[in-house]
Amino acid sequence: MARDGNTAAFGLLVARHEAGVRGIIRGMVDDADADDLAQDVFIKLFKSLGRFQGDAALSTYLGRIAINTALDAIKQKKRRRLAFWVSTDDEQPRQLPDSSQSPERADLQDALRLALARLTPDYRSVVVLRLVEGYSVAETAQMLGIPNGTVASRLSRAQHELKTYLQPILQP
Amino acid sequence: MAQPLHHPNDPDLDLLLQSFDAPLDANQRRTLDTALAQRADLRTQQQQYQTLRQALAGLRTAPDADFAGRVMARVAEQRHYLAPVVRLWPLVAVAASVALVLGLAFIYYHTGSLDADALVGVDTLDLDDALAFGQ
Repeated sequence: MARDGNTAAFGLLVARHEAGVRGIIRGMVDDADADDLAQDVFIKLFKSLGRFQGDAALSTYLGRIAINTALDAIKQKKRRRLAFWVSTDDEQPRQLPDSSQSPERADLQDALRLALARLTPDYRSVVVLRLVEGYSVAETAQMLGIPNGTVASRLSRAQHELKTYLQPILQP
Repeated sequence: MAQPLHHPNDPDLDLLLQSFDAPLDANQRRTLDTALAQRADLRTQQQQYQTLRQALAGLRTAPDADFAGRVMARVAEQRHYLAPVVRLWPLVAVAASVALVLGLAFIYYHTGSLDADALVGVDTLDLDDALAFGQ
């Protein structure tokens, strides 16, 4: 029905999938831009619903739009910085909380978000799709347009990097 | 699933990581279980990776009841701006086609031809303008 331009049906579709899309976007880009980008994802979906063949699950199709939107935003931001020689806080590696001083107060989720931001977009995307959003390896591969084996190896390397960044917090 | 080795010096660690995302075959399972039973460092890694993965799963975004409303407002806005364009598009296309046909008919009536020189209007240029055009 949403494909036929039924806006009420499209509203239901947005409500059903918004958390997943916002999760992918928030995992990939800064919080400040996340809401607008997530809205862009649904606007793109609205415009392309007529072309959606139904050969993939809608959540996978949406996930692909979301990850491409996020990756484009990251590239655009990088180009802007290069063009204007702007130095922003994002360019400096952000510091993880010093859990050695107060491990009981270390906020693992904040630390995780900072550690995620330090991964390259390629690694971050597999972690966000597979480990945060819970898509299967095959679905993640389909969304990113890469083989399953590449997803597995990127996952392995990304987890290794995350574990290294978070070593003080993960220490048993 | 064949997975490229990430830790060539520690195949047990590769098996451990692989086990989180895909079922191991019987041989691989046995190898990993044996390694886990024998190696304290591998058990520590297993625990750390499990903690990491559970924490990552905990980052899932909670639903936002207002989000759909914001999207639908943008959809309505787009429809509002695009509707006149969509409605008028056939009229604009017909008008442009009629203008094109009339223009070509006018040129043909005055020059008796529709070749490139006639379309550009070189035949009707003053000498100075023709020279400037040629340059």
